[in-house]
Amino acid sequence: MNRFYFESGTVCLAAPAASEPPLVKGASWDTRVGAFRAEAMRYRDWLTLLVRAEVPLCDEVRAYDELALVHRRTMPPRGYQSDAVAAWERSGRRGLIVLPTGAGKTYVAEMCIARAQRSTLVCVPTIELLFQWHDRLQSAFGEIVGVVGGGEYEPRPITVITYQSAGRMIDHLGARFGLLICDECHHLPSPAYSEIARCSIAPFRLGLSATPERADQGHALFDELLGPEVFRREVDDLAGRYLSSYEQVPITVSLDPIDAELYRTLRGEYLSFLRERGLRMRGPADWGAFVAEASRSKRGRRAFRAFREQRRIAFCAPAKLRALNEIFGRHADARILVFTNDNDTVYRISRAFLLPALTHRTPGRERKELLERFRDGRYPCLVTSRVLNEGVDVPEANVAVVVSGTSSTREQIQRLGRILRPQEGKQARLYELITGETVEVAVSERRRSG
Amino acid sequence: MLRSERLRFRDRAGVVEPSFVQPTAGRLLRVEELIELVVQHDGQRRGELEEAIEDWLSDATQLKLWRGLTDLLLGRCRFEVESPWDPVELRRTLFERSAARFPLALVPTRVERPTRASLVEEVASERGCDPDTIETALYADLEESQRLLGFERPTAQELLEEYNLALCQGLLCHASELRVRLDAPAPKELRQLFRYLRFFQLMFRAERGAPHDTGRGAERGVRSSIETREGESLTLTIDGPGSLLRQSKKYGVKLASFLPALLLCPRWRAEATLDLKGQRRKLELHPDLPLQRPYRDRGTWVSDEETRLRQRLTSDFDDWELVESAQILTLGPQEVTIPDLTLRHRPSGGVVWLEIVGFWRRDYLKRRVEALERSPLPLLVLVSSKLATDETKALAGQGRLIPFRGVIVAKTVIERAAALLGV
Repeated sequence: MNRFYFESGTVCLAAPAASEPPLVKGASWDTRVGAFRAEAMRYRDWLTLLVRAEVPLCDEVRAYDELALVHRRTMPPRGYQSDAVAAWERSGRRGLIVLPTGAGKTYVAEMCIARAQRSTLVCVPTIELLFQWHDRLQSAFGEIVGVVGGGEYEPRPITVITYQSAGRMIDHLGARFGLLICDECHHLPSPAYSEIARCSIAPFRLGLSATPERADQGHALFDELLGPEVFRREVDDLAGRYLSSYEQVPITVSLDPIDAELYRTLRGEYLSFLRERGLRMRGPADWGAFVAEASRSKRGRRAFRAFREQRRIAFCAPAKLRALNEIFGRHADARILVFTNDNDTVYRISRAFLLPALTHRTPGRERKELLERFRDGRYPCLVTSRVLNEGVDVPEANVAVVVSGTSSTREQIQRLGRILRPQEGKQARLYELITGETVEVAVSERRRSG
Repeated sequence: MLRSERLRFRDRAGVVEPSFVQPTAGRLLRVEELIELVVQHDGQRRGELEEAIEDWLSDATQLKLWRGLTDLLLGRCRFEVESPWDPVELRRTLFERSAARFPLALVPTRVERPTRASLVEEVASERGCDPDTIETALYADLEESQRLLGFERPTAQELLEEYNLALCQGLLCHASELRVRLDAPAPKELRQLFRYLRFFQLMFRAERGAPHDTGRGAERGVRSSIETREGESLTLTIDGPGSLLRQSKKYGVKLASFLPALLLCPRWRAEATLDLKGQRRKLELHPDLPLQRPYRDRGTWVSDEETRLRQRLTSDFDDWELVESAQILTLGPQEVTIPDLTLRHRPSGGVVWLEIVGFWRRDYLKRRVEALERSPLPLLVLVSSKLATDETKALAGQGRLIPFRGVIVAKTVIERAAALLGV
């Protein structure tokens, strides 16, 4: 009998070297321990080879269970959701499903879990998604869902984990799950996170994303890590029928005279520094050059502070708070989400109106409570930075206000818009608060023209 | 360990040279100022301290160095939430009431509408404090609002030493492999080193003499022992289980954590393979670098029992001599022991190894016994029975395990050694 076992994200076969057992791709002899070793993701293929060659085995690798889950459905699946799951089944329960935000990816995942009936690890990029997935899966399958990350560590038959925690802990957890689900899976191909897929033995894998393509061509790795793309629908395929529409309302706010004066002075200081050093601001690379140049001298650091100050005025001037107050008055019975670019602005608005704030620094227990109370209507409004941007579903928001914006893309605005649902008798609305006489107008123009 | 963006080094033809900081008088003075700045902010908000440091840095050159030093100082600070109420609970009270009166007016309006100020005043009077206390307590748990309540103050000299080590560790975080050469290692040093390797779950391959490339996976089988003779060196190649399959930085943090253990050794050289932004680089480390041991050497201490046994063995038995050398005995995969003493029978040239175990845990002893049962090595394990007599008594029947209490009887050791060699 040869021991076949899991060790720190790898699988080992303790067979005598001379016996020359069949080896899976990438396996090799490890002199340090006197065994053959391969990446954990090769487990299924290797096991198949060994069984076929009738190598006597004592398989200690597999530490995951077959489950007897009952999927408590809240609604019948939409046509494209069933098609997606069927396509995933056909490719041997491996591969990517590409659906736009708001198309019910979590529900698709629930269906896949119910088909696979194996211990499942769900990787998500943010703490918000961590708790959201936990809640959704718990109501679908009952009390067998645990959470790892955001200060919690409770692995269960179905475990939701952040990419960050998974990257650190997969060496220990890699043998305990038969199905690996990666939400927003465009995060996976980075060197640190791809370890999650490599160090897991899960024979079944599912990637979910609206935008799997990566600028660094990392998506070429998906085939190896998760499987091929098995299903794709774009926004246009689903718009109208499944995704709601909304009205976009830009509001221009004039700065108070004192603020306007201060703004011009500070902005002048920043711009003259740029001119002196021959710097231009056209994209992210120019920003890096400015930061580097600014950190080199006292003058530069002053310019940097001036830049930050003038931006703060543009984003969060008293005039803007008044405009926000007006919007609140107009929609006193709606569910309102306020988005800002940075945490400072979130807390300034939260303090000014005594409204709940949600950022990545909100403690876990409070975060859960805030989302719950916003959902059930006890809190009419939630102020948040971009944390809710990615995939988080806040189902019943009818009004969104984007308070500050640098050059976000049209996709980002669309993304925010897509979380909106119409209130009875009223169309959903997305306000964009722009400060007049400042650069923000240009930024906003750029955004709307795409 | 310094974060990536704080690392300062020069790249000379693929070899990374850390920019160590020298303790010049002027620099020590500046560092002292920075430390004093932290001390002055005792009890104040973290945000205030960080802003003060930012101001102090505004005319600094070598900003990366000073930010690194600042990180290390902040790591020595203890910040805590200081508030009469749990901030989450206080916020809940305010949010619930503002929700019931949504939207609050920012300033008093002509139409009667509840204002923000009136709500704060209401809660303040219920809790018997003034409104400002409520304003401060509202987000007292945010990082920048937390108070500085403790500071482990270093001397300027100590901070610079800490910096140099943190710089090397920061670089090692990007390492995929560390090769260490130990010259004429003593048994106690080696044992300590392997204890740390095990602790950090690192793996090693050991070779006698200078390193040579055998090619990965070329050699099959596990050797039973590696012996270094007097003055000889030993090379350890250190990485993690998955390193065999793919070079990765996955074990970098563990290698960095291991560095202090290496500094406890007197004669060594090390070379790490780094991956810096996709570029392959080399980092060379040796005892001549300005790196101080961050913790005391606990492993190379010699017990009284051992000293006495040494004296006895050298003076009382003409046929036996003690050999000064270090061996790594392989007991199983990644399971090694480094004997404390090597006993040679002069007439036959036969060798018996002695391991003295003063303090032990149950699973350690269990592993040893299993290893002895598996392995034919001439190894005697001397176990102190001060701790748990039941277990050691049960083990006494095992021929190569000798329990002792206070004093190791040299005669018993020699008898067992002779029996093992059949002389």
